[in-house]
Amino acid sequence: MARNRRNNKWKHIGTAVVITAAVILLYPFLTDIYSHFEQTQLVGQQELVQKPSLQEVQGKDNTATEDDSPKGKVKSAPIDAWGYLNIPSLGVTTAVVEGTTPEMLTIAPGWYTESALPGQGNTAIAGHLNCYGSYFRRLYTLGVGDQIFLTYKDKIYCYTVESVTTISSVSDIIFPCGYNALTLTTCTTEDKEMRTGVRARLVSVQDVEKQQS
Amino acid sequence: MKKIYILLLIAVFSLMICGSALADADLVEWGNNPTSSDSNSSGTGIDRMDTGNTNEPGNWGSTEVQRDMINGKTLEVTINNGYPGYQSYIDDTIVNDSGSAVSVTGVSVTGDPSILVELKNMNGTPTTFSDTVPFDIAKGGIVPVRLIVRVRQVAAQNNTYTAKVVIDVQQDSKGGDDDDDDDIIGDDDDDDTTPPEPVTLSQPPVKEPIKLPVELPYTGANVALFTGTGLALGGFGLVIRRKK
Repeated sequence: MARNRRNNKWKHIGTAVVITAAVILLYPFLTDIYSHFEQTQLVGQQELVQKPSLQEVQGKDNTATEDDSPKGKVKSAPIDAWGYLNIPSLGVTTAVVEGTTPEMLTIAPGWYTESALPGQGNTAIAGHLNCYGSYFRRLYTLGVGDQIFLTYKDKIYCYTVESVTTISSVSDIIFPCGYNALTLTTCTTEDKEMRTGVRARLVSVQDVEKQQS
Repeated sequence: MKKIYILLLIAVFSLMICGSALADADLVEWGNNPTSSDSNSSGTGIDRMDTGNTNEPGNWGSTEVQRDMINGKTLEVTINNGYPGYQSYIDDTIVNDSGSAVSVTGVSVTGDPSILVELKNMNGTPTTFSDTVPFDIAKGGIVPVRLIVRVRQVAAQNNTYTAKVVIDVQQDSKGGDDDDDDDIIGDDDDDDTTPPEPVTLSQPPVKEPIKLPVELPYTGANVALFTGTGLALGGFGLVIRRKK
């Protein structure tokens, strides 16, 4: 009887350890799910409020996704999207939030509030390499000339990539560079103290409505 | 006796030549209208924080700046309700009132060692903070500058920090005018006797974000570590479960 109890006790401990292990194992995927859930709400905001564009930039039909985003969910979004980023060559379409605090970056890539607004200098955005959506997972694969679209307010800013570099984690890459630019940063897989930096130059600005028509 | 006079004259003449290449704080002076970015009263603004300071910015400190009225060589900076990590800007100009071009190499701070002051040339669009000093000012030229004023992180917690800031300058060894320098806003008149016109900035120079390097956020995670830990722990749990 006592032995059975002891066996059951070990069985329960083992089960708890296995469950803990499963949570740890799945943690990156769980963060991705969380981030994608938040994204659904933020992108839904874009579709309902602005009716732009990212899908259209990619040549997709916008009406299907409109049905997928219930209005109730959109209203309950805790944070407003600052803008929307589209990198066709990576297949990345994501909302951008304001700020680069760890909490904000769990939701979506974040705009550095120290950097300039689009069209007013160097606009910088940070995003996760892995976990929390991993939106910038393949940032380092971008090539010179690749296009990046940033939707901010009623305009779509089109940038072309000029350079992809590895930089120190302490850097001034997000500050003015002398022309209108977009800078994307994320971590590197090799070194915690290094970052991947993508610098793109603004080539054109279009109104969202014009783009739609 | 004549030889002594001749030697003295040669010595003085030599010293004059050498002196032209040495630091001379009398060559330049501060502009008439230094303005602080944080002269607001409590509740109407927000303090800037030193890079790396994770404390929540509030509106505690303020910065007062006063130009030395006698010769304009000194700016007296007073930080009220300051604290380690507090930061503000002072926008002003540097006026070259000497008879030749000069090179500004920075600023010297006397007084409270808790205050750190860095000089930035606001003329043009420098790409990084560090490449703005030294810079040249043509004869009679005026260059807009920004002083980045900080209370050091290691400073003692005092309410008031006061320091005097003077310009470190070297006279250009070429002497004369430096009219080729397009970056300089100044008087191109060749007449050395003409004093520079007093200029008062009606507006401070356009403010742009400080360009000190910042810590970029960590946006990675070691997925392999999660996977390894999870698998190891899972295996351990299974072993425990099978234990009888």
